[in-house]
Amino acid sequence: MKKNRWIQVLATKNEIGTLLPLVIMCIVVTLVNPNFISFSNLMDIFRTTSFYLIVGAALTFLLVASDLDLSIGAVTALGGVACMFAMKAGVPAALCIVIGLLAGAAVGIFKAWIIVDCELPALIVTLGIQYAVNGIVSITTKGMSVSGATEGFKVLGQGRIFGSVYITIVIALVIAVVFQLILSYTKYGRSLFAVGGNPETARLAGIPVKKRRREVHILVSVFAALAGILMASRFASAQTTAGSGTELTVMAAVIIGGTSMFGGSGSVVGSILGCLLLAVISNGLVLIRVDSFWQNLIFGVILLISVAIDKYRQKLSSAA
Amino acid sequence: MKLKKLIGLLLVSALVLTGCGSSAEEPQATTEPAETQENTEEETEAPEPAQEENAEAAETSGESQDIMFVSIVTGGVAWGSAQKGFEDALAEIGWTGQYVSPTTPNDTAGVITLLDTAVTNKADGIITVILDTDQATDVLTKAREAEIPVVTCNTYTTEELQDCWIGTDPVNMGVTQAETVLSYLKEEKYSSFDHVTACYIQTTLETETQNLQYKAFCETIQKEYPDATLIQEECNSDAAVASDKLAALLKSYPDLNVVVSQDGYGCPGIANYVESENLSDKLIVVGIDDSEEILNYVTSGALDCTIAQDFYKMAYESVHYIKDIKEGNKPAFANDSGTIVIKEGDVEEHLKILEERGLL
Repeated sequence: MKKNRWIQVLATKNEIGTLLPLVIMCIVVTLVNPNFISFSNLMDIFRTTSFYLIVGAALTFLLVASDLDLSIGAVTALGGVACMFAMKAGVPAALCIVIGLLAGAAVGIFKAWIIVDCELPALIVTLGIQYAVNGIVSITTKGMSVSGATEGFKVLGQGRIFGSVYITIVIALVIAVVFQLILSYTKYGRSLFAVGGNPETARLAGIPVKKRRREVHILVSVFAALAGILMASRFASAQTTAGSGTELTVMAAVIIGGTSMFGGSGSVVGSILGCLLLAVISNGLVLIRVDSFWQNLIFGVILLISVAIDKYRQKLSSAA
Repeated sequence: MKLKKLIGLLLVSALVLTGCGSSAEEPQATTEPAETQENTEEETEAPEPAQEENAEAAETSGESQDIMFVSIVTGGVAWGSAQKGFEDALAEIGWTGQYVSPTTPNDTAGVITLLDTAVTNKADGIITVILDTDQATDVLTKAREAEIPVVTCNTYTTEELQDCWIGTDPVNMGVTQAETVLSYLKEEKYSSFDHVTACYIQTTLETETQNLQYKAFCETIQKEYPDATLIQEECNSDAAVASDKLAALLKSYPDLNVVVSQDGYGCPGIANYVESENLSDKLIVVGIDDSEEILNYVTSGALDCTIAQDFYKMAYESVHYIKDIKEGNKPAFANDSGTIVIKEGDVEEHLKILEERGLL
């Protein structure tokens, strides 16, 4: 009886659906290859996670508010390219970062206006923006990477704190913590849940629904651009393929982390676990020497199992 | 509100159109010989006055041909060079042409659609990249029936479906990569290496020509190192994925001592990881392609060398093959464009060649 109560209490936690497969995966990989839990490997995993998470944290806000964005990958490339073009022109690094972020913000503002004010479907609008932004990146770069990063700029993506922890991991963690605090403990965070849960009720309760939706759309684009800037710093050049396909990967991570696709519920902690799970699967499959031809299949199966566990958890939670 | 919606819809349509044109629209602009003349000033094969004469002669005699290059992607190290080679050859002969590619890179169905358009519009010649022969059979048959010469770049189908092809011979490429690795193993720097554990990081595992290259690479390595451990991985043209894969492989195979990159976008990710982790003395790293960024990694020592495929030559020669076919001189079916192994000492000279071709 007591055991059942524990299970039911655990089932009320959204993050359990991700945590469980994550823990199982970590144990299995460690048993096969103990190198998995070596400090350097964990740092590699966290670094991969950090790029997903920077976008994932902002995307959690967007999904909580019941919206979506397929232009994330393209804006990631744009952020990096805009930043590196400025750097190549001799602009100071700090200002280049601002330029990259502004490029993301410009796309975000435009996107928000079309989706929220013109009331066009986010799916097709963000898809259109994805193509357009990719087009801008292709036209301006001719498909070539933009190099010329200064030593100072490279520190952001390649530097380590205490000689071992990548700065990008710290940046991602700070962003995630701040976002979780906003979501859980502020009026703003609660208003997002209200907007995503029932926009009409939210409006009647005095919440500026359109304003909130605009804000989260801009937020996602700005953070996608930030991820692109950090990637450019990591590779000392802006890759035109940076962020390609990220939109679906990050969205999958956030949803697996317990954020509802239909809005109204979710957490950044869950998104952290979702991003971590994806990074662990990618890293773990190589570490346990799974044939590369099998990796995609196993990756997909593990994701499906995670979703199934989460569904089962929800059922238990409702029963409780 | 209706007005807002209308404006929004128009803007989205414009954006989609801009995006769709990202890879196709810009290059679709007709390549006017006169415009590209300036860029070919330094081409030794065809001096400027000769090109002008050719162009004028072609135009006045009404022989000017319109060639369509249906590629898999626009821009980038490889196909950006191909487009330049295509344009330079057209300018030299005095023909016009269009370089097009699907909106989504490597989209086989998109390539077929563009080929259909080329055949329907009765292009005078087609240069293309065929990733899947089965899918292309129908459209290539139509081109054959319409008597449109077809030359493929870096891929090929059968002699029944096309006139000829030029590109990196996949087997030769794999052998070159393996021989390059084997030659490094004999150097003093790597004399302590008594085994081979190599990873081969390619674009995708479904890329047929890369699989052929990998097979040839394995066979050549195993002749000298029968117990070699060889690992095939993919990076989906993503530098971050390539870097992460290498990091994980080094944990999985601590004795890994050879890395071969077969993707121009993934290569900087590999080189960057090698550089940041100070692995250049522990790994033999063979890169691919010859972008300025990759050549800089060769100079810095993160890459021992890079093997460049001559995409410029592929496209340049393709135009000339079409000219030969039209003049009744059928070229050989298979033509190897060769590869160039660029080591640290060769970088400067290679950069000059790229500059001369207007590729920097």
